[in-house]
Amino acid sequence: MQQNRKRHLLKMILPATIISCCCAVAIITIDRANGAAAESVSAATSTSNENYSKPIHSKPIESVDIRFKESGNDELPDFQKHVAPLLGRLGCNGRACHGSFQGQGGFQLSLFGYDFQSDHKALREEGTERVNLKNPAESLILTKPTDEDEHEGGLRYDKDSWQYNLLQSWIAGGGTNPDSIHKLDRLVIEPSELIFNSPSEKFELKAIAHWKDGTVEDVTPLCRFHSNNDSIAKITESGIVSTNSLSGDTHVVVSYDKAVVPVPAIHPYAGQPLKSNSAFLGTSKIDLLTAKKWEKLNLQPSQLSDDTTFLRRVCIDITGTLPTADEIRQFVASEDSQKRKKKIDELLNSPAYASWWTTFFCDMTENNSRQLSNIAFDSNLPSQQWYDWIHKRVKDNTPYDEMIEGIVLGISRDSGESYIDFCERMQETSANESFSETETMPYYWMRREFRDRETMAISFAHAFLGLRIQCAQCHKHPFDRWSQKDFKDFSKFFSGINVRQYSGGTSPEDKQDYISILKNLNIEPDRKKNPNLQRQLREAYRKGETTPFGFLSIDSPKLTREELRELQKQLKAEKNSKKKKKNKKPTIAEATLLGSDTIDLTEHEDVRTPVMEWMKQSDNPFFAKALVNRVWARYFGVGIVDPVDDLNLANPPSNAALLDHLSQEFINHDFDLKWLHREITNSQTYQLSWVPNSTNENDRRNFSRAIPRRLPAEVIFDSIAFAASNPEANRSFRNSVQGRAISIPGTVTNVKRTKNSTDASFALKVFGRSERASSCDCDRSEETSLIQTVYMQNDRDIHLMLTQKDSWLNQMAQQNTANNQAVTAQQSLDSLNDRIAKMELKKASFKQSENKKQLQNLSKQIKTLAKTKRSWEAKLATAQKLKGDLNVQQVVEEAYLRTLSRFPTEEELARCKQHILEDEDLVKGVTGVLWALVNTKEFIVNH
Amino acid sequence: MGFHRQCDGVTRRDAIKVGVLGSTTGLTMSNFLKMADAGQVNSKATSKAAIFIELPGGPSHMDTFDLKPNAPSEFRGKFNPIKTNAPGVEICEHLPKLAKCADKFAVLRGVSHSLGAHPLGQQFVFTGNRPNPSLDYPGYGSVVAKEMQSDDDLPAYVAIPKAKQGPGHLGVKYASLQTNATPRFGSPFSVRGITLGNGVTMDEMQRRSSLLKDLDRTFDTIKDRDDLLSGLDKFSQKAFSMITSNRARDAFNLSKEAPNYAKLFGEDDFSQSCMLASRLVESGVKFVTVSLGGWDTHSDNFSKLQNNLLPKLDAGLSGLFNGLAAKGLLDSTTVFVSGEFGRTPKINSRSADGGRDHYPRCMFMLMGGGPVNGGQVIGESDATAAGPKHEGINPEDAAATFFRTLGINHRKEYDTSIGRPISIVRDGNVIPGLIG
Repeated sequence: MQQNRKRHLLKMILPATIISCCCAVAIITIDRANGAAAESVSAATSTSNENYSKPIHSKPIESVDIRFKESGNDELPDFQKHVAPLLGRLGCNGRACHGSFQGQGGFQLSLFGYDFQSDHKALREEGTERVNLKNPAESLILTKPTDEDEHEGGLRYDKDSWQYNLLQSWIAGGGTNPDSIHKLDRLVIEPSELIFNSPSEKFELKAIAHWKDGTVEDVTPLCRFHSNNDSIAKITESGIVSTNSLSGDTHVVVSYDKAVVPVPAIHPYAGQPLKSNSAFLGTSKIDLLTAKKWEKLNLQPSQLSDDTTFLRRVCIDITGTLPTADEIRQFVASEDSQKRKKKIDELLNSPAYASWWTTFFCDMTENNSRQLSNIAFDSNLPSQQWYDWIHKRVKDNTPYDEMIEGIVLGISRDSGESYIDFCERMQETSANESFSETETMPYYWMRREFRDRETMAISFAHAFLGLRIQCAQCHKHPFDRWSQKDFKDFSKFFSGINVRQYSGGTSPEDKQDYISILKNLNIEPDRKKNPNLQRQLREAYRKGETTPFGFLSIDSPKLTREELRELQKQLKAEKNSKKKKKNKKPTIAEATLLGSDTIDLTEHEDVRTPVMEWMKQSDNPFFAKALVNRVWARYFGVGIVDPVDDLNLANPPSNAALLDHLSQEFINHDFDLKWLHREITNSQTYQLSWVPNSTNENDRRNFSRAIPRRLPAEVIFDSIAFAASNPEANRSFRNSVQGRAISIPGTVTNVKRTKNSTDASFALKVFGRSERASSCDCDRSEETSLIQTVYMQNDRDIHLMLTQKDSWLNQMAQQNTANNQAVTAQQSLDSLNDRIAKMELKKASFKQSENKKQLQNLSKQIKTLAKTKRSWEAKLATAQKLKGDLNVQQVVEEAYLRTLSRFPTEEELARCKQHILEDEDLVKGVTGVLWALVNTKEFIVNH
Repeated sequence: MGFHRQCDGVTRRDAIKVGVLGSTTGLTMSNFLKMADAGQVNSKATSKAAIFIELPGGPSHMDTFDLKPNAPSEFRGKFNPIKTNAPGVEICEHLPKLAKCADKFAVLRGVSHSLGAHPLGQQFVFTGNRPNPSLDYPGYGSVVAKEMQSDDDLPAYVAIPKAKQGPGHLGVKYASLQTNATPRFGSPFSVRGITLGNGVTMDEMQRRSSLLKDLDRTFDTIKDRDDLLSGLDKFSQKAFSMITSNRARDAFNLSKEAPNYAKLFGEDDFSQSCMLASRLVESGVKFVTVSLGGWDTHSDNFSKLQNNLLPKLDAGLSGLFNGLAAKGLLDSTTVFVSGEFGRTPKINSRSADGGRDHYPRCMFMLMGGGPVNGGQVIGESDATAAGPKHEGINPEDAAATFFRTLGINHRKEYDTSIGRPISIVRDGNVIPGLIG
């Protein structure tokens, strides 16, 4: 065979600039259990000089395009290693082609491959000529793609190309598929990082497969390549990467067999190379890691935000509540060098922090009221208890893993607890609101939609692992290592979870208890005889009587109906073939953790335990990362991995070192949530201004500036209420969370802060509070819409909130009236006093002239005047009580502090004053100002 | 975000480049042309707007548009069929006004599915997609709002008073403007967000707006390069013009209708809502949902229908068809009427008057206007209306047909936020003979 290597380890196609950092190698390692690819090694993505990994020296077998260049090669290609990936590369198993679930032309391949058996079966299907062993050249997989036979997919390769030769050799060699799957150890991509120093540079990727059996092969022509952002880096079908005009960074992704390897591609921003980010003083580990990335991209970070910007941002992010006017004044005036740090600590200890971040966890775990009906006779109770249970733990700063363990291993009934005892206990926790004291919280598993284990697996992976594995329910995950088998084997952990509705459990004891509960209530338990059963029970519940409750039951893993049918078929077949009958129990014995060990389920009473144990392990690749990334995204508006709930291999972190560091430290700090909040918010990176400079205005994924983001729905509603509230309510906003939108437990949102206040449900719907319905972080929306701005400008909620009875403006109107009344009263009093004084003088003169009648008249008049005077005095007293200092400038300042959390500029002040003074009614003018302020972009955006 | 891969690893941009070969857009140009040849696409006769009348609760098909006078008494029901102005089409005697305009709509019988709970049935029939726990499908109006542009000072999609299905995975941007109330005969109608109230006058609104313009300057330096900020600005202007323009307010002002026109409708809320729907469409709104509930007649089925529901439906719907025709809008407006399921053919005896329970296996729908061929019955149920006689019409087919009347290709795919390509209607085919 000709050893004419046409490829080099690193081949630059156009101008041959040497790039020092391209010697490092991107590696993907494949785990032990089932050949799944584990995390891509991130060392390779760091700066070259520090992290120089040596190239792999075992000499790879040269690639198939060279080996099969000429026909007549007697090498037998391997189905898994060569044939299947070639079909993938050619696009045969694409969605619109033979990967379609309907197939094309009756020929169906597994979508995105990795089901070698069924693909092989499809190719070799009897009665088809797809593979013709007798006459290989007649095989349809050779004649169709070369367009010799009519092929809807058109020409895929030429006759006598290496592709043709390879497939032909495979057919000629018997068209076989080995019994067992080859395990890929790792796929190494060279170069491991692409930095474009000039726009015309190009890189050619090379992919080396290292198999578990020791074989090493160049598989470049068998890989599939794509770019995560082709306006920054374009990649051709054969793996040649070039850049576009746009600066920034992205990844190009290489897929082969089960491996998916992202390779960073960086196109630095133009301008003078930055020696160091001199203006940036960050010294925390977060700051060092973000700065390192900025240097690579030639990004200069924005300035540090000023005090008011920082305060507004950190208050919104930590507590979902705006800072008060006094707080802003104090904070700005303080000269304490530690004031930001101290403020962060103060916020983390406030009731609003606990409420707001409980909402975060309720979103994550999908606390959806509608999913929890039929558990209790107060349909909102489970949602409320779910919320309360998490709230207590957020408030107490319970370690994250411990809190999640309480949810994952949630149980309803204590071991040995009778059904009647359980119902009594539930009635008690409901009556005295003490549910949060229970050790675990079972409602996560009790949602109605959890009808099958697949749904549970999808939800579970999303909530706790930040993974979207649903693709693998039907086909191999296109961007990750998960095959259908991985999905199936993981979902088996959830096969013993059952919800028993209130009508009691399945055991005779439970049933007896249920009957006796109803008997105690004098309720006829037979539904047929008693159509009012539900209503009667609901009434009894309201009266505080012990009523039945639904509960979670963890049983031994059960087969689904289809699986049972399959098993029976198998048994029957075995019986027919008179083989020795094996004793197959219809239970599930094993399940496999994602990318990890297979667990013997028979050893666990609660089959969820091994999953939780795996998640708590310090080397679990998802559990801590998923949370850290989600929390980070709340502070920056974008995750280190984004979308945040998509930690797949092809969607790598924008800063892997940063995510690794934070996750590891989070674990090292025993999953201390407040530590995580402090670590992030105290970093200079978090505290940067949103004002961009010439280098970073297009950066949206490296945290070199704050990116303005729309406030969450709850915060918008609360902030309008806050801006409109009277001074007393305003001051206590952060500490009294009762009835606030940030403390709504489930998805029933018609909650009011006070009896008179507006209910939040409409606003929360319009602004996209999380629906908690589809196992996706996108259930919360931070998009903008027309209906939202219509709401802000003219909804009755807004008009009412601004001016309702206990509002700031209403108080101001009362003051204004009082002020006017005080002036009038004083004037009347003055004139009365005047008149009385004059009369007294007259009286004195009458006294002298002894004019009795006139004297009497006068005394009477004085008496009347005195009476009027007393009434004016009373009016004055009342007015003085309500009176307030309504200095227009101060009012405008207050309005700014309540909404934009900053002082107005001179110009703004003048414009607002003008608006107010144009109005004959001061309060009407101020209403206009407050309306305008809540309608600014600055108000509705966290910046 | 903003950049998403599809589940099969193809980006949108790629999909365009891929073209015919391996196209991921579902309906390729060549397919489209083939369909066009087969008469499945008629680009001329498409509607410019649509009205969806949802009848949540599930109206009894056997007592409305699919009567079985010869069925045994435990099925048949109390009502008799009457002839309509469309030859061969018979409907319930308590729908006399609709009988006089049956040429304007087609009756779909033997529509069939399997979801017998209200929310699931509604999710299915009001979106055209079988519910899926990990995906929330958009209601018809949200799809139309996305596909069809509306003018600046009008909402694209209005729901009277609200719609059962939200925008689903399309996001809040395509949610309806809910009126939250139904218009009442003879009294002014106020629409949340549109009607000025609470002491705010037009002058005051103008003054405030000019103040807002002067104060809202903080992000001037970056707003043009930021989608969120420029979007907020754009919507702010649109909202203002909607609130202050006469057009939007007039569109909701029923007192501006001529008395002769108003006479076509009844005085109840549903009729008034239908009149409002016609007025909104005339003004340029693209999609209106009108909701009429109360059809869940487990008990007292016949008296509820006869005394309340059917007279309302009859007056409102006939008013709508005749009104649209009178305004010359019927040819360009599709009207689609459906509940989430039918009701059990066998009458239950829970109440003296008899009731019927949930029954998704057999139901009716109505479709009219635009390119729909009215005056006919499509599909057929068996002798006791217990199921389709032949192959049933499924909700997907009805949805596909409905979208087709608007020139919307129901196989068009959207990428959900997880990058999964989802077609507007997953499994539907245009119902033969209904349009064209």
